[in-house]
Amino acid sequence: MLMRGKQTTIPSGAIQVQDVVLEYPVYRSVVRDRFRALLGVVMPSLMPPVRRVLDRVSFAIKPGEVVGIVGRNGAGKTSLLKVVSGLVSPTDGMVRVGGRIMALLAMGIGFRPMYTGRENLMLGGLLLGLETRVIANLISDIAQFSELGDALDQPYFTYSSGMRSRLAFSLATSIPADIVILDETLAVGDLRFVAKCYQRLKEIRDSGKTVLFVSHNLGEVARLTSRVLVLESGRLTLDGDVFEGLKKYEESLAEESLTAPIISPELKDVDVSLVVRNGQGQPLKVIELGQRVSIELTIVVQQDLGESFVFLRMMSMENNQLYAYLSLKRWETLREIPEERDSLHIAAGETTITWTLPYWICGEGSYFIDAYVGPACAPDAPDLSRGRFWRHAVRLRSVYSNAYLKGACGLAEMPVESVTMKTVTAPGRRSGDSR
Amino acid sequence: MTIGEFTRAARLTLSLARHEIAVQRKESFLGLVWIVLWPVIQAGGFLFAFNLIRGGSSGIDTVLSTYIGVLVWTTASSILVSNLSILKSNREMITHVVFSFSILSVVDLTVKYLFFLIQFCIGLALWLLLIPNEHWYLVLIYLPIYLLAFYLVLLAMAWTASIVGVALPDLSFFLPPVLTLLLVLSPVFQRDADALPWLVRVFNELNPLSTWVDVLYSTIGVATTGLHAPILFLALSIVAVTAAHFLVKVFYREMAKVI
Repeated sequence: MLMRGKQTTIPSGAIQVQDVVLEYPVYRSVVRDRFRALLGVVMPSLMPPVRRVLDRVSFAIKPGEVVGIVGRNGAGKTSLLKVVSGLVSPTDGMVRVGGRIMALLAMGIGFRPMYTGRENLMLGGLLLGLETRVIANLISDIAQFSELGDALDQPYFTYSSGMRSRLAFSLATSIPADIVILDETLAVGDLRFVAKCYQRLKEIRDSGKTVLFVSHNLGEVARLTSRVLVLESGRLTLDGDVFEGLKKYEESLAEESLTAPIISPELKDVDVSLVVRNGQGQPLKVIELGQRVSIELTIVVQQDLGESFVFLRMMSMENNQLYAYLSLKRWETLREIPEERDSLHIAAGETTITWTLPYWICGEGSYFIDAYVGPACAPDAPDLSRGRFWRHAVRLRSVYSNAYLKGACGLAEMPVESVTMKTVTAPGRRSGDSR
Repeated sequence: MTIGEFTRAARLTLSLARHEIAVQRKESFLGLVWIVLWPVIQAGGFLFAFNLIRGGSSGIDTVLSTYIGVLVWTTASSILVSNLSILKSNREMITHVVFSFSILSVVDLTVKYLFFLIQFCIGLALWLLLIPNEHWYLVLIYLPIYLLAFYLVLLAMAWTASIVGVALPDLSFFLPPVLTLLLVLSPVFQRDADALPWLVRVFNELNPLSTWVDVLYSTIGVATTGLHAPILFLALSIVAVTAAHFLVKVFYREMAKVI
């Protein structure tokens, strides 16, 4: 049941969700089951089997709060937004919303191809319940923000996807509302416009409106929100502090990755652990830009692996992009030092490889490091299917110590001061190899 | 619904209808000329096929009553057919944009109805000018009642069709040829009902489109057939639209999940 602010005493901008259950029909035959689902509205016994996408979700949001919703694909984030915005009525439970909601659940949906951008703005505004006069006043602001210029009077079908997203975002965030709901809507457009969108969101946040925000970009969730809801398989598993919530979400992602199948069965008795330490040797989870760190990879094997190829790759948790690659060779300005080895002999026992980085250069965000161990191969055409990846061997958060660096990010060469190797063989015999 | 809400809904409908008409104008070389041209061609084609070739009457009253009858029939059938798929064709919008999507049928109906009014007024003006009618002022009094009732009954049909069309999509294929067939058998072309086989007569009596054409003919020739027809039609249309609104409230609530 969806109750609007007028009917209840809930303050404007507040949201109360109580024991909400949402179920969708499961389609085996679309036409037949849709027919049954419609008849099921009046005769529940005819309803086809259902899939529960939200399971007893409860939370309350105060006016002016900015809340991020995170979770894996299919966790129920969009369904929750649909229920809160009133697009879908819950199967059970209660949703109470105070004031006007502006929900942008998809970019450009509902815009008519033959209408001009201006006409689509008018149409969108009218559908959202605004007066023609109010929309006419908003259009000049929207035109300025979207930077569409003369294109605003061209048919919508001539717009590029970037222009469409600019138009939709500009409309959605210009409409006066007490609650703004956004679903993954910023992942489009050029970088400059995305930055502008975030600035607009910050302005909305600072103006005291309630914002519900779904994103897979955890850095932005951390930056924009003060509270996070973590959804897993339709259940609310955490409702609280943003960093605690993001940590939980990252852990759930990592668990999934760590259970990935082993590519090479002959490497199943290999144990790998990875630790990142600061200059004093203490383990780190949060690294400041410019900090001196060492990354310590320990490989424990029962049998001699022979000449092996080992490397680490550091990936962004937010977009799964490669940020750094660390092999046994040091690299200098993207050129390898030819005399250095790219493989090592891994004997039975424990082998530790330590990369010392004089300064950490990865931008603000969350990262994970994958470790790879496999048979030695030609470095220019390595066959990685013969080895094994340890996904998410370690997870890190990089932060800025200097406000001027905010917003800096990108792929960069990771400077390596030294790579050292130390082996403790199985019976306790110790041998070393250091550079 | 308060007066304020009704005014807002009416204003929204008219604004959206105006935009739709503007788009339709842009989408062809002749633009809005088609509003007049299309029913003339259509009624002319039907007249040629069913009256002149068969050797029926070609008097001005036959031509104008056929024009008006075809107009009512084709307006109603095009609204019926388009609303069978209106929710599915706007699926993305319904599942992503928060708005009262019962407005989709209202806008579609209003656009087609505005076109109908223009086409109908041309036919009516010719009817009143060319066919002597001493009670013409009664026609002008009762016609608005018919037109309001016709709008309401079309709205009831559009809303119901939008729900039925989701449950039974095959109707979109089945109905257009059936409606054309029924038009041929309807009072538009078969003036002498007694000469028709009993099965066709039953079909015509059960077919609401035939009834709406009959009521319009009664309204235009009000002096001879009585005044009650448009008033009864209005009463029935209010019942129909209330029932359809109830269906909308019950089924549209679940539509974003089902569609």
